[in-house]
Amino acid sequence: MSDYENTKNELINAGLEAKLVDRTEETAAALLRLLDNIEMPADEHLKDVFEEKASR
Amino acid sequence: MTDYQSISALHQAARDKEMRVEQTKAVINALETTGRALDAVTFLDPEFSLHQAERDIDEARPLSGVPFAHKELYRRKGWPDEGGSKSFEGAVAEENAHTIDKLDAAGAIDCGRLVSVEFALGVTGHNDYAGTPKNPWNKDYICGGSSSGSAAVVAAGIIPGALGTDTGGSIRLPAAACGLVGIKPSYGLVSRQGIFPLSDALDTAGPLTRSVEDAAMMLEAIAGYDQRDGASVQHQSSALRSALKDGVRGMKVARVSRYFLDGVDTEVADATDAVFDDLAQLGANVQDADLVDMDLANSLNVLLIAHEAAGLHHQHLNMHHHEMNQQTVMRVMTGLFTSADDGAKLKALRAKMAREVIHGLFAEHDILMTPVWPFLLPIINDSDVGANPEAAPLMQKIGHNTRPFNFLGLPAVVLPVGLDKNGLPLSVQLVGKPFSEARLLQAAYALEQYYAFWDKKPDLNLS
Repeated sequence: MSDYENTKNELINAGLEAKLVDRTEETAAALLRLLDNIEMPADEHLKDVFEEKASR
Repeated sequence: MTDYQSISALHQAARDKEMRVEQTKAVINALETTGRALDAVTFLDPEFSLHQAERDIDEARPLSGVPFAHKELYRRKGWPDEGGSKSFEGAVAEENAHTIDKLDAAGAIDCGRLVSVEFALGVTGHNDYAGTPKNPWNKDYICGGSSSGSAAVVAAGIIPGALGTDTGGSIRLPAAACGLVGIKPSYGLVSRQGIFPLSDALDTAGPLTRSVEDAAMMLEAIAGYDQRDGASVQHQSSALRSALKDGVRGMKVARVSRYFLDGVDTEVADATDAVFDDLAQLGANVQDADLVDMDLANSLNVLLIAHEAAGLHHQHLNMHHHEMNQQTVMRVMTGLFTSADDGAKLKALRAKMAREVIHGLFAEHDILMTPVWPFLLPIINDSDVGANPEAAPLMQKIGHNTRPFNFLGLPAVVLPVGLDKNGLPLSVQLVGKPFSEARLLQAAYALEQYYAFWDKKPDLNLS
């Protein structure tokens, strides 16, 4: 189980409102759906883009 | 402190040690009285500040002897380090932020810590632990967030400039709400080392000031490579003040109505269009242009903040969520439902989108101008999402025009251009390609001279 999953489960077991958990999961799912149909680029980072710009 | 003096004027006055100490005492007194009445101050250390004032100064350094203050997320060794949260009550900083060290070296006088929204996670300025700063232009209205205390004390004329942080609009929104100049620098220009982190991919640090020249001076002092910040870029920052007065003649300014003007309040849209007209009068070449996927950049910025905030703070959240505002818990917890793979995709996607905007819009234009707030400022009671859940959809729109530029890592400057029907500041945002801060400030200076907003001051009525 991932660190996140552990934390999530512990939060729920600690008595965090179930409604709150549901709402955050729904929010995350809606945002993650935005990534579904996007062609993912090769791994690169913003710093690489900016350093390329800065060196010109 | 004498009312609304520029950094240059304060520096001149501070050459005399006695004056410098008196000036610092006046600032501390104003922070203790007016600053606290505005609910903008979290911590003062008069002994430390006066000790700094009593140092000999190097007159050649433009910030020497000049008082400033900073958002509480900036760490100073031995001072509280609470991140705006009761859940960190009693924590003490073990180091100075890189930017604080730079201002110390520049001879500036640190006069205290200013209220932040908890974990910098909020755009209205509400904080039921540290305080919800009141807008000096009208105490019933919000300052915006999350650098709310910084905006309040600068707008009240207590200090000429303060430091803030911006992950989705947290310098620009409060600066705009309070009639100030605010700079969200290019990602990598200013080190975040020693600043309470929210998102390594998105956090930026910059100044809020009363004038463009003061903003340029503060940014010059804090910018620069820092090997301890993995995002820091080896960029030879040009002097920001030298070109301020060159004007906007021939500058290509993009007007993108899609996304940035669609759906904004009529008064805000009309005010922004009037600024485009005025820029054209000043000699700029204003052109309609298009920019796609800004709604995507906005939403993905929200997701990336949550992803990274959860990565940084999930263990603290687990142990201390009962001491945190429920809104903060929800915003961090959203990130618990993302994976490491999602995070890698988001970062690669932002690099791709930034490249497209740099080689697209900014190959043809020098500057993009947009409104900052999409509607007129709300009052404090109506915009507390914790107390009024029905306000949530409206509040989510507040960062509509600011978040895309955190996602893209681009620099942005906001400045006031007038007052709305409620007597509160209206502002515009100037955006450019990476490391184009000098050009943005040049355009901002031309507009500042045109609108002379420096002369406009809030009528502080805190009773």
